[in-house]
Amino acid sequence: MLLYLSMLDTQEEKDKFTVVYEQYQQFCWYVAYQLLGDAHLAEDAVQEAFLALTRHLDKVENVDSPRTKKFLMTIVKSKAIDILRKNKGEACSSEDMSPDIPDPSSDILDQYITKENYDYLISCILELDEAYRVVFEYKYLHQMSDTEIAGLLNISPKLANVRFYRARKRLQEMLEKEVAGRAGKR
Amino acid sequence: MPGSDKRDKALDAKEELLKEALDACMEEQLSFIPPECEIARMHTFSQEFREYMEKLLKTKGRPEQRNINRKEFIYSFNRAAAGILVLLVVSGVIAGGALMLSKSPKSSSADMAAPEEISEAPAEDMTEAEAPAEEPETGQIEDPGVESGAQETEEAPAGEGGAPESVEYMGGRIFLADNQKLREKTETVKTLVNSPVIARDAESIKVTIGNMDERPIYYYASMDLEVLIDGAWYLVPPKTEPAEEEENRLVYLEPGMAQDEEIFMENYELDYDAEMYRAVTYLDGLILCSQFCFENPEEDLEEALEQTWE
Repeated sequence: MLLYLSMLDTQEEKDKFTVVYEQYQQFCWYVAYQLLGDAHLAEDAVQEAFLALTRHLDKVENVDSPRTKKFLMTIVKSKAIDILRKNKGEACSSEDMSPDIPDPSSDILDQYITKENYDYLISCILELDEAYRVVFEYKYLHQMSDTEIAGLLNISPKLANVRFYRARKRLQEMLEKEVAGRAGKR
Repeated sequence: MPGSDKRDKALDAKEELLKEALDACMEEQLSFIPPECEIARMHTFSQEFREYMEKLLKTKGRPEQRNINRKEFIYSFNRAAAGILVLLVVSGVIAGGALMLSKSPKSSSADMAAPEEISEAPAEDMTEAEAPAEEPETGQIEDPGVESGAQETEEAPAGEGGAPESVEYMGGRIFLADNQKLREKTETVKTLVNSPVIARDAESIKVTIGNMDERPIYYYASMDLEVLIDGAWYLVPPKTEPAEEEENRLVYLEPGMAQDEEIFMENYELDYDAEMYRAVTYLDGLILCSQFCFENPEEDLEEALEQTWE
């Protein structure tokens, strides 16, 4: 109970949450709507996103900052992806179910991340499946741990880690292709 | 290790570059999103959405929840109940054995076999004679609710049909509870006390509220404590009334989630010999209860001794 009491929100946190909601509700809906194409489902995603935000309000330092906007965008995208999956009847993606767990030792993505490949990197990230991109965003942009990411994605930390390595693998494959294409043109 | 330092720095630089690229991609995505006022013109939030968000804004301070499934919920309760039973049996055996040795100094090695007999006897005895201890053993988790619910339904008429409006309790008067017949669970919502038999020195009792429904529920964090006297339930008033904010605090419980709440014993005058207590939880249009009683070390010891002498 002591722990429970210590977790009670302060008025300041409550205010912060209210301000975030008032400021970004429409924005969040639009982001979700772009992915779901259904106004009602987009509302569901926004609800889920704000519910998730209550557990990560500490990540919001300045309500008006672009960082906050980006954080919300990632959360709402991941919630919209969840809804898409559920509507397809998948608890998790078919790739998650695959026994092929990526071997981190075969991860050579770093070799392709160079200043020379920066433009390719951008185009590959933009083409990357949104489900993978949100994992990258949580990990690199919002500096979240596997456990935190797992909580936000409603999956186990192990699966979050698997998804992260799959995302890296997929990006690596895309970059390999881009770089090989460029070499072929020369 | 200058080599590994270099490698780490190179990796950090690559991570930084990837971060930069991700940030740039996000900026690009953001650039396609119209301003809030424009989106507001495109879409008006539904009444359902607004109601949900109002509730969420109100109860934003909900505590972190433990995500457990039905199996875990049942298993943890059974484990706690089994733990209490084992403790009672072991303490009975030790106390009985010690008393027997001190009373019969001439006891031979044959007497030393007695504790083995006792170790089985109190357990049997308890399951037959002591209802609260029996529940988790016989009916797993489903049964205590059903059994206690059934027991209560039988007892309730006594309270309704002529039970005094107030009774003497711990030097004061307490009043008849508004609701005599209460269930422990519905098909989708369940409340469970951490153990049906609570130690007298326990600082608090924990009540787990489980939501097996597909939709979220709300409940009041503040619970009532009631005591069973002569077949009727009476409200045990807390020594200090909780603050209004705390009393009205709603807790949001997502589907498939369970949440623990506590009732602190120091806040109540308790009659440890009372037949039964119950923690009453107020949910969305629903009132549920979970029953418990306090351990009776003397009775346990007496039973253990009786078994020993037999």
